[in-house]
Amino acid sequence: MRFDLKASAVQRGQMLLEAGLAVTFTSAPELSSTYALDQRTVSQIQAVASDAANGLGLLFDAPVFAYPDKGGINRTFNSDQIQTLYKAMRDFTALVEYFAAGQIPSPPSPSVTVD
Amino acid sequence: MTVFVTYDTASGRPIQVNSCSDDLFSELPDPDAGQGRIVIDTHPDDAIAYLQAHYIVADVLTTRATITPTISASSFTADGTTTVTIGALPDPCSVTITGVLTAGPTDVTGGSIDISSDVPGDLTVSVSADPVWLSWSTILHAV
Repeated sequence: MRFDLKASAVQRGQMLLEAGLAVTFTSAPELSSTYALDQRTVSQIQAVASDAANGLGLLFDAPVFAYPDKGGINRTFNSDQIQTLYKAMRDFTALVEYFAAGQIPSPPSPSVTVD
Repeated sequence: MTVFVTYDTASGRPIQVNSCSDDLFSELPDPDAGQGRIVIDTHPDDAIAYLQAHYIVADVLTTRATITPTISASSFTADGTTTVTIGALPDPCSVTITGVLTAGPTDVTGGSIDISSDVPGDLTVSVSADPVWLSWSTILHAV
């Protein structure tokens, strides 16, 4: 008897989110790393990025904002960079949701290159 | 002192081991419907392990056999086509797979299974064939 174990789109999507997103920053290689995509992380990055985009600045009006990558290593972002990271996370998680829902045929690549 | 095992007559699975004086044993009521009772020599040190390692057939306490399967590989490529073959299984048996993906429990005949996976991760393959065989499991690595 054969057991051909195949992940469903929902399972595969969940695995992609658990594995995180590998982001390569071409203009800031020190930020290139894999970032977690759990709900807490994404919502925190979203909040900081949204505030920055809306002119509220970064936390405590500091010029930079430090946040750990998936491995726990702190990475230091400026206002534009944290927005770039959030956009990459947002787009990737959206594609994962589309894939899990059967709206696109293939899962998104778990790595992305940004400026 | 009399030591005795109560068992399920339909499956042969032992339920519990007890001991009491010879006099009391002779006065015990019959076992519940569907249960039997046999006398053994001594009270086992580890009753749970003893119950797990034995079964009763035709009123005879029998040691459960050990599954000694063949495994073609402990790790395999998670490409959805590469398979690991586990053979020399009891025929029939029940197979359950847990881990990154799951399957079963599934009744298997023929004594052999082939497993493939399209995602990496560990898979625990558990085989049972009660009551004759002791349960067996192994971990496969899909990489």
